[in-house]
Amino acid sequence: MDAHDFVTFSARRKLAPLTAGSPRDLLLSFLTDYVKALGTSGCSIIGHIKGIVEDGESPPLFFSATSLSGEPQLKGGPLGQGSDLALTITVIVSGVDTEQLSRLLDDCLAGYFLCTLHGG
Amino acid sequence: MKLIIISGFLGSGKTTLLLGLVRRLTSGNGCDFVILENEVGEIGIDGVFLEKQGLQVKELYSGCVCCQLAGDLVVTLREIKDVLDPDGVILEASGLAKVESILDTLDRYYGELEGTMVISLADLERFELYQEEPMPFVINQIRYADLVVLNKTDSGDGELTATMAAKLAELNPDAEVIGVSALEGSNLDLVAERLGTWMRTTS
Ligand SMILES: Nc1nc2c(ncn2[C@@H]2O[C@H](COP(=O)(O)OP(=O)(O)OP(=O)(O)O)[C@@H](O)[C@H]2O)c(=O)[nH]1
Ligand SMILES: [Mg+2]
Repeated sequence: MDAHDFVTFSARRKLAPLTAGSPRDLLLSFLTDYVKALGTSGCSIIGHIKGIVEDGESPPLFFSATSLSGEPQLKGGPLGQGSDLALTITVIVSGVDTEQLSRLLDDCLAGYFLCTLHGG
Repeated sequence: MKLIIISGFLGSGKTTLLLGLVRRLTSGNGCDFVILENEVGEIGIDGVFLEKQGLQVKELYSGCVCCQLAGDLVVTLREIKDVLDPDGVILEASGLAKVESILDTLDRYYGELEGTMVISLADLERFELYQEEPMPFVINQIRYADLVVLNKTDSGDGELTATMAAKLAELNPDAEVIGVSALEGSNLDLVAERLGTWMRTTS
């Protein structure tokens, strides 16, 4: 396993929460699902999944996951409830390709958010 | 202008350590630093985080400074020296970086630095991963370090910490190994002291 065996994928999405729960909890549930989905799709090592969620007003929420078994970590926020969110995410892992990373991202987000592509 | 390179595998705690060290050094030693963030992802994340903490950050992303962005590293260091001329630049290398290649680039193309110090992190939470999957670039990060920081000691017991510290010392017998929790701040004063001493004395 060397550096070139790791795949890097970055994306931005615009998210509208599907339920009234706290955005922090929704994000944590999404991240937990995403890590689990990566594990069952052949991902052997999570280098780092990290990103930022912003609502345009509150301090941003930063998230991070570094293993297939541990809990994702969140810091910053709290995000306002009921507002649209901008997600920026970078995933560096081994064992899956970028198409899978992108598809699984959108599949897992869809459980908690209405999700659209978000440029620049 | 001196250069401190912080290297270590993906997610080992480089950004967390960097923030803890800069806070200690700017208040204790009056040094001013510019942070140079290198990420292989197309979008910078750590730079945003550190800027929110009030630090001055430059970013090199979409590649690694040990290979694709080696030229950009030299150009950016020159610019920082010409425009800002800080006491130190702290480069957070990407988690995939081979430190030997960064040092080689600097040796060949940027001789103006007053000194370079490499701090490499290893991550106690990844103890099993390191055993099962010894990755050459991670070993290279440790071998070329002037100081090895064993991070996330809060996640394991003293015995595991001692075992991993001994393995790191075997890989790089010349470097001191310091166990820390960058998240909780434990032992960061010691790392900051080593760095502060180096900042004051090396030329
Ligand atoms: N338990 C524990 N977690 C830590 C410690 N230091 C950092 N972390 C966590 O580890 C994760 C990654 O930390 P970062 O500082 O972003 O790691 P990094 O090496 O900069 O990551 P990349 O730049 O993506 O390679 C975050 O969730 C941190 O909160 C520590 O001492 N103990
Ligand atoms: Mg980082």
